[in-house]
Amino acid sequence: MSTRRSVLAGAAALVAGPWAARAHQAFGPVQPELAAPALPLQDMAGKPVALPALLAGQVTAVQLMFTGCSATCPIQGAVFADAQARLAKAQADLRLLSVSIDPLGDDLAAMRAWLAKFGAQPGRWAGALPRAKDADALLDFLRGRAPGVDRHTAQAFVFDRRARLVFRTEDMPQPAELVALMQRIAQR
Amino acid sequence: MGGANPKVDLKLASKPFGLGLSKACSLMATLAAWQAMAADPELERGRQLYRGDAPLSGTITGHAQPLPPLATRCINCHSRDSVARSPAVSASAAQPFAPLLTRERLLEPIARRGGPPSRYELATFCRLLRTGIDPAYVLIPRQMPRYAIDDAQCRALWTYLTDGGEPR
Repeated sequence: MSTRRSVLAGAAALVAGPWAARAHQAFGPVQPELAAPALPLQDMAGKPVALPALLAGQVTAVQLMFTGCSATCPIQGAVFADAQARLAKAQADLRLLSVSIDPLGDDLAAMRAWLAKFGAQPGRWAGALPRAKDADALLDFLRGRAPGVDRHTAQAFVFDRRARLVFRTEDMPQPAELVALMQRIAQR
Repeated sequence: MGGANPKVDLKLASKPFGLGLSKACSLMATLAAWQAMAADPELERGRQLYRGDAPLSGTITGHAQPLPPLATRCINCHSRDSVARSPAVSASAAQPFAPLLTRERLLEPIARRGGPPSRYELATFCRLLRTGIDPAYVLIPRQMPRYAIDDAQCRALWTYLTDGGEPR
């Protein structure tokens, strides 16, 4: 299915309410919505914060990455950088969040440098580090696991203001469509 | 007896300049490759394109905007470095994200992506970079950008990979 068709299908399902078939696919709308697990993370200020608290009150597109990843992660960074540019004039509660899946290899300095490389603006695009023992739980919750050296998919996982996972995009989503999806979710 | 220790002499003989034989051979091969590139500007141009020292314009299928150069470097995926940096690590068993682009891999008949055996030549190599269609007419994964690469750039990259090659 093409990106456009999958997003349109997802949007249709989002407005279909209780009549939509309930399913958890590899990508598309998540029905029923899934509450973010209470995993502790470290934000870019070095402060501990639980994932639901980090997500609540805003619509957030989350991506999995690690700073040593040279294959898909630069593309993911470019996708979020493009999305950030498209969000320049959008409401402040549409946010981007890059979460490392390599808390043993990544630290705050590496994460900050990776975000800076792609021009992340702190008010719009943040980073976070899970504890080493929680990385697998995060991968499992998001269904973000992939075979191969990168270990993770290049999807964006979109959460609503109630910190519920509501949409999994395809790998490397078209930035304009990701932004449009976030805006639709924000209007719900 | 002064200087008559055979163990020491053997070690020195097998490690000239303090290098093991394999490291010395690798260094010599690297030096030879650099000499060849210095003598052939096209090889050097190909090396720069491969490593991202010269930018290549590439776009993910379905995207409207090209990627920044740091996301289009061949070496990002076609390198053993991608394994060394991975947290997946059983690195000794892990494969690079994408095939290493050795001369043999490109020129020998190999079944790729489930297709019949095929080998690259300049024209099919350039077609793959631009369209994502491999020599056996199989589409490569979407993760690889489609490149807006001109004939001279493509020939330089091909020459580097088949006649120069990345030290591995």
